Amino acid sequence: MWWTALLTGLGVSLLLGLGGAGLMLRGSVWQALAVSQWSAVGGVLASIIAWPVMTVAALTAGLSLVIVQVKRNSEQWPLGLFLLGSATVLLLAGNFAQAELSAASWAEGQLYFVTRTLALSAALITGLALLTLPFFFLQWLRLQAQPDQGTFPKPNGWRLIAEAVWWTAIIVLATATVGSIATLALLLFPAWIAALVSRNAVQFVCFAALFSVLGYLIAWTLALVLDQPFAPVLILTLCLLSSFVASARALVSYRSLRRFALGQTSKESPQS
Amino acid sequence: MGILTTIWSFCRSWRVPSVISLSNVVIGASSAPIGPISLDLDPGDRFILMSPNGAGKSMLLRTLAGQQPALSGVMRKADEVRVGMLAQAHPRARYWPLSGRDWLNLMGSQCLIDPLLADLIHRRVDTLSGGEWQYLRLAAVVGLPVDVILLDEPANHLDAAVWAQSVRLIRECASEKAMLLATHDRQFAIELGFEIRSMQALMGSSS
Repeated sequence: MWWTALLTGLGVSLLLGLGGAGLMLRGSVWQALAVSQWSAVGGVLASIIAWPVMTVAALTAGLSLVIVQVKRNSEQWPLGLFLLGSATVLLLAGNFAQAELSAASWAEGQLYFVTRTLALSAALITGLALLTLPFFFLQWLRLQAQPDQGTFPKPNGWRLIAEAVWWTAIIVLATATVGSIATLALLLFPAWIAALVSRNAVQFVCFAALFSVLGYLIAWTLALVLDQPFAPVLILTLCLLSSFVASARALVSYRSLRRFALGQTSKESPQS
Repeated sequence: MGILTTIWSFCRSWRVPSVISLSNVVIGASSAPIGPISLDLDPGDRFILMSPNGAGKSMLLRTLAGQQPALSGVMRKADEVRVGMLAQAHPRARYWPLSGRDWLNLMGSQCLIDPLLADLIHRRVDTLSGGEWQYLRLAAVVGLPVDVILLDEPANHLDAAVWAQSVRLIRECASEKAMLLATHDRQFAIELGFEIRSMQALMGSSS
């Protein structure tokens, strides 16, 4: 059913928009690259060893997240793991026939051919992730204080583990649904666009979700009408949306600056 | 002599208990240890640490805040003591979509909103000048409902007007809170009128 696919993708895009805002607040944007790529590694590996796909994908993605968290390195380790994950997928695809098909489907996603099981899993994970989001949102906000220290204690191990499970769940679900490329696009672009125009943290998270859903809906329609793959259309759509918002913001800044300059001139003119 | 010792012990047991107490504590890295340091912070104590760069002021504040472990010695904290801290610097991302109000909320601050803060709380923190950002952070920490406040170089980046406002803000901080500041700004320390101590003095008081 086309609407099952549409709604599944809509839920995933909403989650990725919200998650992307969290990643940006956490300063962990590069982690998304590694985790998304390693969930694809898990998916491809599962096709070879004939194990449950989501379980293996969650295990490999979770493992990559644990490594990145333990190393506490915001760039080198996530990027290194991303490259290692890409190399693993290419090697598996080059050496196993069934892996080649699986690798392509994890890169491009199964959005238009979403199965009943995947749709149900997506509905369940989306619901749970949205229910627990306020808890994590507070955690992301309070972590901004460091190295200053306020009244709230640093999150303990269990809170950090719960957050890692949350990230792993939404990234694995998204990679299985819309593919690794679209997952990254929906995690990164909407948060970048929202950061340009939001006045506070709540607006930022809401705008990120809004831009993500908007980008998804436009790309979904365009990809169907023009008979094009979803991920490239989504990236182009989000690029255009970013350019539009950045230009509108620059225009508003220019007009404010001009009004300010005119005000200064009119103040000076009576004296001259 | 025995009676005097007993009386002294009795008096000590009745004095207000320290919120944080350091006894022969060595801080820093094992390759360059600093100490041993002894210090008792009681409710209402106000000290200023003034020592040259590299003396270990920031490290001591981080150790007191629990952000860095001590290498050796004994550090005691009263039950459920809460510590707030202004770090020496807090780098900002180029795009950081938090407002001044968000900052006060995420710190858990209950500070009074003075005219300067009233302007800052509606602006994004990534659009504030260095001095405005420092003042917002300082006001947030001073307004925390905590037992101990640690301020590392609170006068950094401040212009004359905000500098004077910061002195007022710190002076008006609730009297039951213990406060320890590290600064190189002698005029700031004099204006505050708190007792000035050096790291050497803290090390000298260790037994």
